[in-house]
Amino acid sequence: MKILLALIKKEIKQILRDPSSIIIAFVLPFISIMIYMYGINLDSVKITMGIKNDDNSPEVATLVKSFGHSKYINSINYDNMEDIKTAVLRSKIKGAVVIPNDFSTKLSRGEKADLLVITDGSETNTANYVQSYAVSIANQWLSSSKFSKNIKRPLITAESRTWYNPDLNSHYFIVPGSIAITMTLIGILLTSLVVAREWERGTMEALLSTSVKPIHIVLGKYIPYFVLGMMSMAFNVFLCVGIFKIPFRGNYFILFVVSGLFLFTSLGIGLTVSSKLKNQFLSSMVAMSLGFMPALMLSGLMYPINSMPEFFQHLTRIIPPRYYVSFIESEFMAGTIPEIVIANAIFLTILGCLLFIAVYMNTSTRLDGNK
Amino acid sequence: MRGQTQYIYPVEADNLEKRYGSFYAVKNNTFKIKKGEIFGLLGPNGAGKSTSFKMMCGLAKPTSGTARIMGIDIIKHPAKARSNLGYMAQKFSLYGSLTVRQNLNFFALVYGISILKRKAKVDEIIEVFGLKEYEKCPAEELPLGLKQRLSMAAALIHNPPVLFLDEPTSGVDVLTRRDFWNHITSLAKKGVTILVTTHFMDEAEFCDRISLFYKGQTIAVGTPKELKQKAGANDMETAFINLIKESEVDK
Repeated sequence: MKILLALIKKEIKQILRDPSSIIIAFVLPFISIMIYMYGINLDSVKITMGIKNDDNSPEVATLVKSFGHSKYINSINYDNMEDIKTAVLRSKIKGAVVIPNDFSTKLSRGEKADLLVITDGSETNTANYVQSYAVSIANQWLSSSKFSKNIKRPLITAESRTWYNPDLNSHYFIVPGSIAITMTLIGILLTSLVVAREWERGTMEALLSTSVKPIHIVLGKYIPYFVLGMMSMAFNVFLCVGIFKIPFRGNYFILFVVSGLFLFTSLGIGLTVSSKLKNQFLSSMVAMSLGFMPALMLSGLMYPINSMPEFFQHLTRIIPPRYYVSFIESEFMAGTIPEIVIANAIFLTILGCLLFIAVYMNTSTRLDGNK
Repeated sequence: MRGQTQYIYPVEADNLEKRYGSFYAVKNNTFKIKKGEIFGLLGPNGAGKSTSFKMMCGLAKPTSGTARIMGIDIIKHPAKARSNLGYMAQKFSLYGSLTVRQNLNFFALVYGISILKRKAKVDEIIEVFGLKEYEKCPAEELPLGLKQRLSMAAALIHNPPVLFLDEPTSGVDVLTRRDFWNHITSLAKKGVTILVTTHFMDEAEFCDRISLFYKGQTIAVGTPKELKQKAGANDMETAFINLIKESEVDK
């Protein structure tokens, strides 16, 4: 116990002497949340599109206006097709709507009127937006225009209401989800260096010749970085909820308990690699690719797990962030759901313990342990 | 019975062997060191003296054979055996970012000194090794000679009956070396048993007994005087060369 305390105190002094750990723990979350908040946006954004109106009836002029008033669209008026063509080619506009000259005539006769929507196929996602915006704006205009009496009332209307994230604001789950990425990074960055550093600087040789036991070395690394990691976690939550006003509907106690379990797994990855490789450069590279890449690609944060190929769906089961992302998104968005909390907590505990065993097994008590 | 052995031979190497495949880095190495004796391991680079040394203090696992520190088997009870041992590595192995005092505080605790006695012990060792004026200095900023002095202070903080020094004077100046050997001899006079490796021939003269190492085997053991007589040489260097040549001829 005394020995463990000495190791922890030593580690804390080293952390305080070397500001890089502090930077990792507190600057990294800040940068990461800024990127996820302002850099990544999975929602429809304001799109610039062109409008060419060949119909000069005053009624159609209001349609052009409603394009201009939409909060999803920036509209630019064009007079000829050539200009639209160049604007699309230069990516000045993402698409265009052309209103033919018989548009209002056909509508007033109760006939089917055509509207030409040009989209840029080189950006399929945006092309879809252009199309659906144009159609929905035109329909809205139609229902409030004088032609509305000519519309046949559809027998079924679909009223859509989105549950779970009613505002359809992807930041509300992306930013909490990004905590998973940040915590993976922090857990791994903080620890992947620290055991290897003792080997490289020769201090492990001095440690091993004392009465220190492997369990002391392992806990002496886990505990201080766990505490630092949890402080960083608190800072993350403060940024999310306090500064960026992401709604939090869950329970803070549960949030921190499960986050603690997740941090336990990240520290385990970093420490396993560090103890095994005994080289700072190599272990930071390996730990990053082993921990960070799967966290980003396979955790379900960016790409839904059930749309992955089957092999990868199975692979995600051994990736701790998968459980944590699933937990933290629902904890923020939907509040505490016991089944989700318990299932994810159990998997995180199992993975964390397995990694702890791996760290312990890889902690050599001799200098020639891996020769 | 064991008690008596312990008293006479605080350090014993019993048929230590280290093999990598078919290559013997160290072969049937056996020796016993008396209490208060300075025992030198001498040999050219790669002769296996460092390997022997690391096996003696449990940092490397012997392929066969064992070593005993104060009668305690280093393989069966490594932690217990090591608590009787102060070890100074060849390479500086303290925490560079911690100060002199923080390093000593840390090693005092990991060597098992109680928190209550620690301050007195650290104060004492700082005094003995003349580190008072550097105690707040980070270890990495010390000049090499002082680093070595600090390493030795850290190795001795728990008053071990046995001290292992791996090339303690490599890379330090003549004055510091003399200073070092003064410490070593005065420790031996107090009854500390010392195992030291070196490749300085003049330092070999300070040892009570020397084991000459060559190609993984002990080729001669004795006092410096005995070895010189055996080799018919006037100084250690010639003795060393002659003894190596003899062992080559024998093969």
